[in-house]
Amino acid sequence: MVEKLDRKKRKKVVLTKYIVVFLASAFIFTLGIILGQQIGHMKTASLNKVMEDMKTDIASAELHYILSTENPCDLTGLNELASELDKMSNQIWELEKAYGKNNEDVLRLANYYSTLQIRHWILAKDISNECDEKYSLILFFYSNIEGECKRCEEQGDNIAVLREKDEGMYTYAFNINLNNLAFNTLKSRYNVSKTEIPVIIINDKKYTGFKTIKKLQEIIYEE
Amino acid sequence: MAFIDFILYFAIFFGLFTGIFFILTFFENKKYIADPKASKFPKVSIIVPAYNEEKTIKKTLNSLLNVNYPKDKLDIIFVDDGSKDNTLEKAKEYEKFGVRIFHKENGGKASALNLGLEKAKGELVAALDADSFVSKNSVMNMVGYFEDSEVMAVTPTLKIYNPKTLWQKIQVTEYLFGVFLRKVFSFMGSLHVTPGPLTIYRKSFFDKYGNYDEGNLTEDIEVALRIQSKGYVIENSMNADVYTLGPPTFKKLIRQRRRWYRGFLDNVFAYPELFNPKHGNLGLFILPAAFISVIVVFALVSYWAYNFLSNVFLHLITEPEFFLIKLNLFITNIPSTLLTYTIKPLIPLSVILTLIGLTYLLLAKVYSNEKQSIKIPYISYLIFYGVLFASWWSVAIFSKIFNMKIKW
Repeated sequence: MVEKLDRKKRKKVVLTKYIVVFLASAFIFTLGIILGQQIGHMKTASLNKVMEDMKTDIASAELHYILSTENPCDLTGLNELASELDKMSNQIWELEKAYGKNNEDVLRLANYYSTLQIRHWILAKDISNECDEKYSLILFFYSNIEGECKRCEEQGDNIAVLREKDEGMYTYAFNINLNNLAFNTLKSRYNVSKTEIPVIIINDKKYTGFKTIKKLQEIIYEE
Repeated sequence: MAFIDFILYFAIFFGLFTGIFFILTFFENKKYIADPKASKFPKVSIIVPAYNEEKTIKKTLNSLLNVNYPKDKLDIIFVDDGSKDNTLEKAKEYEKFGVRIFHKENGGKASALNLGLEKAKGELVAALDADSFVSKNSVMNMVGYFEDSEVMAVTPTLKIYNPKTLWQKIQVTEYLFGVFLRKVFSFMGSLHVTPGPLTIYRKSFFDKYGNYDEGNLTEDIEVALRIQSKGYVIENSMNADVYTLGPPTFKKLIRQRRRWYRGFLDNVFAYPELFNPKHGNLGLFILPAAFISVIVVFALVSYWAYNFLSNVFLHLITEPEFFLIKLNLFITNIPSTLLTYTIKPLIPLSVILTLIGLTYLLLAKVYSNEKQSIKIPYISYLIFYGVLFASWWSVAIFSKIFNMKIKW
C-alpha cells in the first residue's frame, strides 16, 4: 500500500528550513573565506622568505663586483638576479590580483620588492659605468589604481614586448603609490609625480606620457 | 570591493544556499523516491508528433511497441505534421501493429499534439518527441502517480542518447543535473517544465483548461506553468528513462536553446502571478532563483569576456606588427595567470561548489541507475558550461528584448 502523501503540502514554504539553510550557507561561506585568507598568508610568508634570500643574493653580487679582481664585469650574476626579480614581480602581481592592492601583506611585499629593484638597478648602473657594458636601463613608473593612469597597463605590456625583442636591457617597474625612503628618493631624483604617469626613464633621461613600442625603440636606438 | 567581486561572492553564496537546500530536500524525501506501484492500469494515449524525422521515427515507434504496459491499454497515435521527407511512409509501416496514423498540413508541434489530443482515447495522454526513445518500464513506472487525484502530470528521467560529440557529452551532465533537480523540484511542488519526451498528463486537464497553446515556442513549459497556476501537482519519476538526441554541434545546440529559453521567458511573463509566495516554493524560491542565476552567470561571463576581448583587441589595433610577440607573451603568461586562481581566496568555496555539483550528479546517477561514466562529461561541463549558458541566454534575452521572431 502506497503511503498516503499530501502532495499539495509540499508546495508550502517552510520558513524554518529556509532560515536553517541560510545560516548553514553563511557558516560554510565564512569558513571558506577564512580558509582562503589563510592560503594567502601562507603564500605571502613563503614569498617573504624568497625575498630575504634575494636580499642576500644581491648583497653578495654587490660584494662580488666590489671585491672581484678577475672578472668584475661578468654579467651572469646580474642576469640571474634580474630573472629572479621577474618571477617575483609576477608573484606579487598575482597576489595583488587575488588579495587586492591594499592588502597589508601585499603592500609590504611590494615595498620590499621595490627596494630590491633599486639595488639591482644601482648595481647594473655601476657595472655599466665601470665596465663599459652597453645595455639600457629602463625605469617605468605606473599606477595600478583605477582611474589614475589609463594607459599604464598597455605601457607595461609595450615594455615587456620590447624586452622580449631585445636582450640588452634591464627594466624596472615601480608603482608610483608605494611609499618607502629608497623609492621616494628615486622619485625625487627624477622628479616623477603622479600627474605625469606613465613615466619612463631610459638611461637617465625622463619621458612622460604613453609611448608606443616603435617610439621606445627609436629612443633606445638613438641613445 | 569592486562591483564584479560583489557579484562573484553573491553567486557563490547563492550557489551554496541552493545547493544545500536541494541536497537537504532530496534526503528529507528519500523515502518517496521509489515510484508508487500502479494498482490499476488506465488507458494511456501516447502522441508522437513528427516533422521530418525519418531518421529516428522507426526507433521511436519500436521503443513504444516494446513498452511494458498492457497492450490493450496503450494507444499509440502518430501525427505527421506535413513532413517533406519519408517520415509518414515509414510510420505507416506501423499501422499493422495498431499505431494510429494521422496526417495534417504543417502547423507546428503544438497543433500536431492538439490533433492527437482530439483523437486520444486514453484517460492519460503522453507526448513523445519523434527523436526520443522510451525505456521498457517508463510508462509503468509513471502511471502509479496518477492514483493521487491531485497529480496532473508526471515527468520522466531524461537522458542523452549515445553521446558522441563534446557538446553532447556536456549535455549528458546537464541532463543528469536535470534528473536530480526535477526530483527535488517535485519534492518542493515546484516542477515548472514538463518535457516533450514522454511527460504523461491527465487528459481531463486539457478537457477542462484547453489544449496545447499553438504558436507557443515551448508548449511544454506553458502546460506546466498552467498546471501550477491552477494549483495542481506535477510529479517526477527517476526510473522512467527516456533517451533523446542531443544537438551534436554548437550551432544546433544554440538554436535549440534559443528556442527553449526564449519560450521560457515568454511563458513566465505570461504567468506573472506565479512569482508569488502564494504559490509556495515555486513562487518564492524556484522561479526567482532561475532568473537570479541567469542574471549572475550572464554578468560574470560578459565581464570576463569583455576583459579578455578588449585586451586582445587593444593589442591588435595598437601596433599590430607586434601582435605576435604580444600573443606569445600572453601565452607564456597563461600558467602564472592560472596560478593566480589557485591562490584566490575563493578557491576553497569553489571547491565546495564543485563538490556540491558532483553530489547532484552522483545522486542522479545512483538513483536513476545511470551506467555511463560521468568523469569526462563533468570535466567538459565545468570547462564550457558557463560560457554556453551565458551565450544561449544572451541570445534568448536579446531576442526577447527586441521581440524577434524565432522559428523552430
